[in-house]
Amino acid sequence: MQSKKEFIAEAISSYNSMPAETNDLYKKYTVDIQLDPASPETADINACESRIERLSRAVTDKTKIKFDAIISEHTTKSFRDNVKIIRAEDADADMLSSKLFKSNDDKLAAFSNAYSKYFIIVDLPEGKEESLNLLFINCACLPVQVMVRTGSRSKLGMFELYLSDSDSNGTMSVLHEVRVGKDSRVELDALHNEGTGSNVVNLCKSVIADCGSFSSNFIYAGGSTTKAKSIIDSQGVGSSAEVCELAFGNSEQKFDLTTYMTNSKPRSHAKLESGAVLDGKAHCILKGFAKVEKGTKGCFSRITERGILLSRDAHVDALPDMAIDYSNEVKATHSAATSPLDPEHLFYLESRGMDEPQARKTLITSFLAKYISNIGNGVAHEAAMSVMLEKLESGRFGSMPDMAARGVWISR
Amino acid sequence: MILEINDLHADAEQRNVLKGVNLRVKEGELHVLMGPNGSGKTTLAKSIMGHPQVRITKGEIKADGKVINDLPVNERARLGLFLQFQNPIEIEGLGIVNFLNTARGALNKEKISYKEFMAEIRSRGESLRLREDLIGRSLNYGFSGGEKKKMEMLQMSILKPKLAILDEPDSGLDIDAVKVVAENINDIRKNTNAGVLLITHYSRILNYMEPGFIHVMSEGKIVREGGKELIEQIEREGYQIDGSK
Repeated sequence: MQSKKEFIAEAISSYNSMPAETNDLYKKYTVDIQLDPASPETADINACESRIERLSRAVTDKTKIKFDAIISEHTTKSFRDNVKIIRAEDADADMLSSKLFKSNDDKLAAFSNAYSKYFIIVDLPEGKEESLNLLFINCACLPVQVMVRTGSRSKLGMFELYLSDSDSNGTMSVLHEVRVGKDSRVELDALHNEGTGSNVVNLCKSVIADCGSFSSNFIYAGGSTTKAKSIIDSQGVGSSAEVCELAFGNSEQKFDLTTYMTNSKPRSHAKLESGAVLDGKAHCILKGFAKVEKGTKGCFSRITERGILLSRDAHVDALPDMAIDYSNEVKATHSAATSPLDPEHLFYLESRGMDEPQARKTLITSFLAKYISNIGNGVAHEAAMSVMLEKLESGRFGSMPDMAARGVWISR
Repeated sequence: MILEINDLHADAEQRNVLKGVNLRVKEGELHVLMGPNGSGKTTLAKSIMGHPQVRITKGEIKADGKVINDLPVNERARLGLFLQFQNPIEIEGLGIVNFLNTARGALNKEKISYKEFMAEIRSRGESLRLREDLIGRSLNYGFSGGEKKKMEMLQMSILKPKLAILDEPDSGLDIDAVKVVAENINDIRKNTNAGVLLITHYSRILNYMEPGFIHVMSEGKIVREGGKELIEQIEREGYQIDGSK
């Protein structure tokens, strides 16, 4: 077993030496991200802490969400016994060696393993049911790891809200490792609404035992550059995985969202729904890869990628991909589509009395709602919808310049 | 509302489709527009509602004496015009109740309580024999062709237009559904005194209605007009009666 020192050294070395993308297919489609493991000493701790205190109070007042844990760079608070927060330096070698994300798996995982400040550990015993709300506020650099383990026949709903204390540059990096027990259900909802200068990393690796189910809903609305990777292994017979991810960006925001799903046992289900709504010069890459292994009779796998472009300069690269080792008695489909708002849809809504900006807003909201409706947690659902609506309200929905064009664009 | 169409010429998809249409529909009247495929019926309906891909090259459309050729689509809806689409679109994520409420607001309809609003939707849905669970779903998403047509009628009954253009409300419906839709159109007309321009290929729906005016359209023009007797003639002889074929 590696010592803690060796583990960290390997992680730093992997982070420094690994390429940003190791998959040949995706090398052309990747967004660079600059992560700065700034030390806390470089930031004004007191000023930062008082901003975070104010922000967390404001968020709680506005959303009425009762947070079970608040995590920021210099302080953490947990109000629940089953949410344990430990500083990275206190993690023991056993814990590190049993991690699902190895440092040589991925450059961003290596960053997280090398520089994580905290481990948030959620351990749900057999047969228990729990719903948790976690608030993360970043000041300069907040790399954390969230380790979830559920016993059999348990049910966990987790909502994570990510914010920055300002629009200045910063790094928010979170690595999730989720072990779903037999007959257990885990729903992980995360809403990223960091400041416009932030770099955001969200990694998630999940293994699902027999008849277990895991669903994740990741919504990215903030940050300047977002890199996300989900690796889901439906390794239990009859297990089910649903990954839903949505990017909502404008100006020059960049999103690079990758999901790998594997059906490795019979009757397992894996579903990926990726969506992007982009304005300005925003760019999003949606990469979904599904692997159906041999001997997975009765399994189901589906990838759906959709993009809505609200300006001529916005850009979506959608790359759905599948590898099916066993072609009999499995169902597997993939699809991708990107377009501006449909002029016929706008005409329909306008014929019902809505003016053009209202019709546009209705179509965009409907698209977003389709993804947000996957969120089963009422608190998370409401928070996600209100953040999206707030962004929409502050956006521009200019006049329609040319209906003869193939689509409808926002004039600038 | 009085809708007047005078010598209307219009292009759609870079083709001259309407070549001098004249028509006048008054409140409370039921007009039926028939004609072979491609004769311009749907283009006429779209031009009245202001579809951006239909370009009026000559003539005028008037609502209560005011020329509306250049009026934005939503303004026409606010005047009281309603178009029932031949192929209603699906919008996933747009809840039907939310959509109807937004449309009512956009049309400046009288404010009613949520309870009254829901009761009206339910009652209208029942009379259209729409499955109750459909009301809780996204607009037309995953609906059958018949359900979509009924959803259009539900919208009409809730939005209460002054003049409705119904573009093939009967196509794709089974025999029972045709009767249900026809009865609902009659009911809405009776309650609101709305004028209706009904486009259809089949006389079946007219068995349940009392149209006062029948118009036959061919090659972008209205070539024949008359009363209900014209329908029987069309049934017997087809559209050749216009003599243009």
